[in-house]
Amino acid sequence: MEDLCDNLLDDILYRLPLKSVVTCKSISKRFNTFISDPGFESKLSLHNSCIFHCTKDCPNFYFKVPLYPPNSDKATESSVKLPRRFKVLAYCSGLLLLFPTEGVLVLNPVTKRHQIIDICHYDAIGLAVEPISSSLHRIKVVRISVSNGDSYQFDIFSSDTMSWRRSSTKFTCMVMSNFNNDALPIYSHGTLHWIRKCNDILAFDIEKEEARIIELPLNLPLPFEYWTSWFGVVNGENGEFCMYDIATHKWRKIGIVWAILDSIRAFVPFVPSLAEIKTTPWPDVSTRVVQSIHKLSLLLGAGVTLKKDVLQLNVSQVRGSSGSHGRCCPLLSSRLRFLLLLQIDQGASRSLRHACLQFCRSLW
Amino acid sequence: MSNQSESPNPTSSSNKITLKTSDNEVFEVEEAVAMKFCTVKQYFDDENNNNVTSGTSTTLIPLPNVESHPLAILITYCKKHLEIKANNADNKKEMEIDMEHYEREFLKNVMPQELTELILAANYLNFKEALDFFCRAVASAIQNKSVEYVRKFFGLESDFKPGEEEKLREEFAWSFEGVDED
Repeated sequence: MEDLCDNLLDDILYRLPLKSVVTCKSISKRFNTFISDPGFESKLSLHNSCIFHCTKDCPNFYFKVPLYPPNSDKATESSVKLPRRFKVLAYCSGLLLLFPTEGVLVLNPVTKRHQIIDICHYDAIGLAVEPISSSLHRIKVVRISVSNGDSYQFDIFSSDTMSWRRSSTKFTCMVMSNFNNDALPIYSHGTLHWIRKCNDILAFDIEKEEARIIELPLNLPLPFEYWTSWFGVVNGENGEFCMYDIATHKWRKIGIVWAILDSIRAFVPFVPSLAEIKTTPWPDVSTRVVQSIHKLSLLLGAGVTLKKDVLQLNVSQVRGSSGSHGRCCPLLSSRLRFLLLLQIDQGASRSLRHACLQFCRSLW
Repeated sequence: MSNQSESPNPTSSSNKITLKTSDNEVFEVEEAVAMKFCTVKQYFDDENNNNVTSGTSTTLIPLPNVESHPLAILITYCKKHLEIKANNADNKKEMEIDMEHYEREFLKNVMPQELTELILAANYLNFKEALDFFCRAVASAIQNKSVEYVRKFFGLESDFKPGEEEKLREEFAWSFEGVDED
């Protein structure tokens, strides 16, 4: 074993599920040093990343499609079933924001560390995670509520203070509209983005605490050639799929979407991290929540074949489930029926972005 | 003159290449097999370039970093690999199934200590398919196993100072939950 040089150790360890690699830290000093290397850690995260999504057909099921299976041809999809009304509200940098009915929950599904945050009524909510160091992250949760029927009010929870604070920003806009709860908010370039039912986007800069509206495009520029940080929308009758490029403030059409995407509520590329979550004690987390955390951790963290109450589906079966609608789903034909958000973290490598795009294409 | 190589089908070439291991054993293998070992191929090509005119077909290649035991296993693996490839030349799926089946059988006869030896040999010979296969095999053998199991697998002892290991285990307690039985 001592004979194995670092290259070979790397060749073996990066194939392991994240959880197993972390266990291996305790084997010996050499293993611990090797695994703790930031370069190795980021490579590992990438290899354990997946597309995480849920569908309208079975809203309680959350699916995972690995982006880097060890045997690349055998991409299997697995899923977990969460209790009714237990929802995934947002994703950012390896952490999930969940709604377990009592408060909201920030969870790292890999480490199972979590924090419940007390919350009152909200119209929209978002999660922003900024790394302070490799293991420590600053977490902010933004809550939007409508005030007086003509403006939005923002409340910010920060892990620094572990408390809520009302922002002095009050954003009044011409059209008040509900938020599209089928679309997950996106955090990118220091700004949270929510899609509203009136087909535009509300953006909120976390640092400056400034809000603005991003209008949907009338004429979509073609061809799509450039992509850094964007999210997409499936629009109206023709199922055009377009993305807003945050870097250049332009909408770009990148394709036409057929039936299948209509059934997907939201999906995000999930890149696991070992980010610590600062926790304060929360007296009673119900067993329902504990079980759900466990399931999500199995799905997203363990990376091993799941057993028992877990469905094993491959991508083609998922595709088949909504294929009965024909090529273009009737549900797509009126207004904006479906929103798809796709987040590519700024930190994500080219190959991850490529893998995500490949995945999207496989669905079209 | 003696070497009428450039035969239309290289796998049927009867050219033999002789490999000499660190423990002085000599293996005579078919050229097609030897050429899967990139290190050997490199050596072979260099030799040929240097002696274009000599044209002998009995090249002896020394392998100072490989012992006879892993080499014998690698040659068997390589032969089978080529055979499966040739049998399913136009059906990639079938080939993968056959290969998977063979690899599963193969692993039944390999001890954990041998795997490390094989990885080192495959690495030195630069035999990519085998290296990939052995690394995969090790990874799946230690996946989700206890620290004690993995140590035993690699023949390692803990070299932590007292308290260091406990601290790590405490810090990453979540990773020790639900580990498979040894």
